Amino acid sequence: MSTAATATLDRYESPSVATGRMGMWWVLASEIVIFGGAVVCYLLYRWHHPEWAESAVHTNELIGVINTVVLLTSSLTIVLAHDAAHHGDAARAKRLMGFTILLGLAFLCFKAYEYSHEVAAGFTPVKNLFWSFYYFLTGLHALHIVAGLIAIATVMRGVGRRENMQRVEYVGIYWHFVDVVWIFLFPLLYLAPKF
Amino acid sequence: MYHMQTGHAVGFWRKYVFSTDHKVIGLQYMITGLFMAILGGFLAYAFRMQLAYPNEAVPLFGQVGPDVYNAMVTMHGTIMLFWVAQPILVSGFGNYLVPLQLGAEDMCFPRLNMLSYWTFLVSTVLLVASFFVPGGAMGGGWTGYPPLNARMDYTGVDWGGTLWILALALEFAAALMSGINVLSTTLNMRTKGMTLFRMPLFVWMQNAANLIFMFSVGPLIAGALMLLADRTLQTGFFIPAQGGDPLLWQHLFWFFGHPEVYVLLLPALGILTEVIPTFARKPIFGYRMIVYSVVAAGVLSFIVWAHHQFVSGINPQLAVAFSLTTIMISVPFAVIIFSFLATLWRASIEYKVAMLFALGMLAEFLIGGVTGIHLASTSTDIYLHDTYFVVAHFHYTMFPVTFFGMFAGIYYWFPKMFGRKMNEGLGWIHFLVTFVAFNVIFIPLFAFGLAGHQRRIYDPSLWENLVPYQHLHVIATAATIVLLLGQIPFVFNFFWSMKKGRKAERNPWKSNTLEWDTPSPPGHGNFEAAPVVYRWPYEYSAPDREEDYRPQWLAPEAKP
Amino acid sequence: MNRGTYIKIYFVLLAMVGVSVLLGLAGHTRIAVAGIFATALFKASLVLGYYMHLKAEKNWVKWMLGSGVACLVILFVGLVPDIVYVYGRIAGN
Repeated sequence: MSTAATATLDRYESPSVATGRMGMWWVLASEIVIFGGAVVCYLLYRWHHPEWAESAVHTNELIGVINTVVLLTSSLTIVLAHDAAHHGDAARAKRLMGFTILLGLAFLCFKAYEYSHEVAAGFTPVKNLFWSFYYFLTGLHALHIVAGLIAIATVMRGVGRRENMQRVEYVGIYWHFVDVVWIFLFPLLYLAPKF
Repeated sequence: MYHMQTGHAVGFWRKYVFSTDHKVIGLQYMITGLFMAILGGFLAYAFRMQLAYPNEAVPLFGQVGPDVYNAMVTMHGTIMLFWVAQPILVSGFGNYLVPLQLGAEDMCFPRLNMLSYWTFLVSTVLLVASFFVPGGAMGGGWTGYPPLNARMDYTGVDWGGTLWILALALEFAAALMSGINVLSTTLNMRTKGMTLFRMPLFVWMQNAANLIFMFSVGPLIAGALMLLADRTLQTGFFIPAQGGDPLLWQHLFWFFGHPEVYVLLLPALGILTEVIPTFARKPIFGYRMIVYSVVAAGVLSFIVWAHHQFVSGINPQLAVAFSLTTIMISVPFAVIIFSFLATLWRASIEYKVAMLFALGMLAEFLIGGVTGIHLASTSTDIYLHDTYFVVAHFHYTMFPVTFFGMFAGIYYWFPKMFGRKMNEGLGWIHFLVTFVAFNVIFIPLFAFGLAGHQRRIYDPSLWENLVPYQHLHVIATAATIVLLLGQIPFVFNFFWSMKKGRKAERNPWKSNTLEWDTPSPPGHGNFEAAPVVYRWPYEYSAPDREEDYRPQWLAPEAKP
Repeated sequence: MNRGTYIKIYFVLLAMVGVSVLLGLAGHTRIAVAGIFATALFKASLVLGYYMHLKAEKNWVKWMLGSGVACLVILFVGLVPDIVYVYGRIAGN
């Protein structure tokens, strides 16, 4: 699209934030209220139902920790990919994005393992409201992981052809956001509810 | 140097169907919305006939059973708000006009824009399809309250409700995409000289509307997913027996639902801020004051929602707080209305049809706003809640906003959109019929509400206390039919003028904003040369000029 | 910001994961819960500030994201009396 290209020329009042990045910030603003709305509902119910602590002991804390570390590492690899793209090192950027995708897939595998064991143990989404929320929040998050992986893969193809290198930053911002959501879900579902 | 993109050949499909051009997308939104308005209007006709002549077969429809009646009122509300008002006022006019008024060649993200429309179209198809699934369309009220709607067997509506939730979720996604585009375009694609305080107020209002929408809709999207899970997986997010709380849905719904009123109102007021100064030939009164009022209204709109729930068993102390904030929010809107009145004060007004609809909207909306005070105050609301008074009140707000605002916009920008003017005579007929019929429908309903007529009852003749007032239903229904027939001149005028109307020049209304600096209709890329802006957009009645207006793009004359 | 910073931040983040797990094992106290959420906030602020470069971003972006969070706070505060304390409904529920 030539629109984006002309925007950088002398055609318009000087842009406040690079257009692509700004678009991503708006996406995140809408996502914050979606995830945030879900978390607000969970917090309110959790406060009203102290007995949920008995259900919460059954979440697999070890896998929670592993997945936290996996996501944090993937955040590091994508920010390093952004750094590489910024310095014009397409090969390195591509390699780091590949690592990010692998880590994202690893996250999903751990999640699938966790789900299958919980369901096998009888903790299905309809077991009680705590488990409904557990599947709702982590499921919504997992969907965002999938979307992020698709986005990273799409940008990676462009980087291979040295096109649209700035998009590594944008997709990175999105990926970090998914990480931030997990940073809050981890204590909400795995650590704190045990009290 | 800036190069135009016009001239490259694109096929019919890329040009009119799978287009990334903001003008085509805007028109697609509007035309889809107008078609849905016909559907919504037809539903209104059918259920109003049932109310006037209970249990008699309705011509062109047939027997209205109780379940069909529920589905029709639910779908009427849903369609009129989310498939007529939202796509036309926010996405339609916003898409068409914001880039033009900013002097941009297109939106920031044209392909996202196209995705937005096609997502919206899919949602429209899902919604219309829900009429034809087993169990019929959603019948649990347009607010979708649980527990009624949290289980399929409670209403007997099987797939209708599920499709309704999915369609709404997609519609919200489409509106978010369109909103992101409007906001980004406003920030990054203002032409040279277009500082923030030189932007037309329409652009301010569109941006405010999209921001309010973006920040209020999120929790409801989360809630909608929870309701969907309740319906399909039998979870208990909103079922008390399973530990859920139906009030939570009400809060999530109105946390979005009330700001949504302003999401629809602000673009309509934005249309008025362009139409009124143009035909009053006077600068708008209090430009900055209007901007600040919009900001204040936007902030306040997030702390008024629970006034919809005064009788739902919410904490009464909280109800008092919400009562106060609700009364407070009328202040910024009063400021805006007074700015309009001051603009009209001692003006030599040109009574073009666009101006008639703009003035009509002001007058009607005022009644809607004033009756809102009765509902904002808890003591009166406890009596009036869920009566026809509420129905009349919100139709007095939403109908002028949606239809008077939209018609003002269509009559005003039609020459820009299609290069021809609409017929003024037919327009006058359209306005007069619409204006009179609208009042004849809803004034009786205020009285009916005070007489104790509940909303959402299928057969009023079963209530003895309502029987003496049955003639009011007949009057309102007759006026409904007149109102609907009164739209025929508009539909005819719209299509006839597209082909046969008088040719319009670039700036037929002698207006100041940048869209009038483009050819009518503008080509792909909008401007022949990048415009430069020298002043604010409301310089009418300039005393030192031959013509009484000075457009934004006109370079200042050299001092003698 | 350079690679060195990113890697340093990464190790701080890992340390914070350790701290929150230890807090989880430490005891069933309010302080431990507060500590867990404080570390979560700290971790999120590090990711936002350094990885998403919000520190170097225009102020209005911070305000815009902040107002999203503010809306959530309003929602939460407004709902506490109804959803948590369940005003005036059947006792014992």
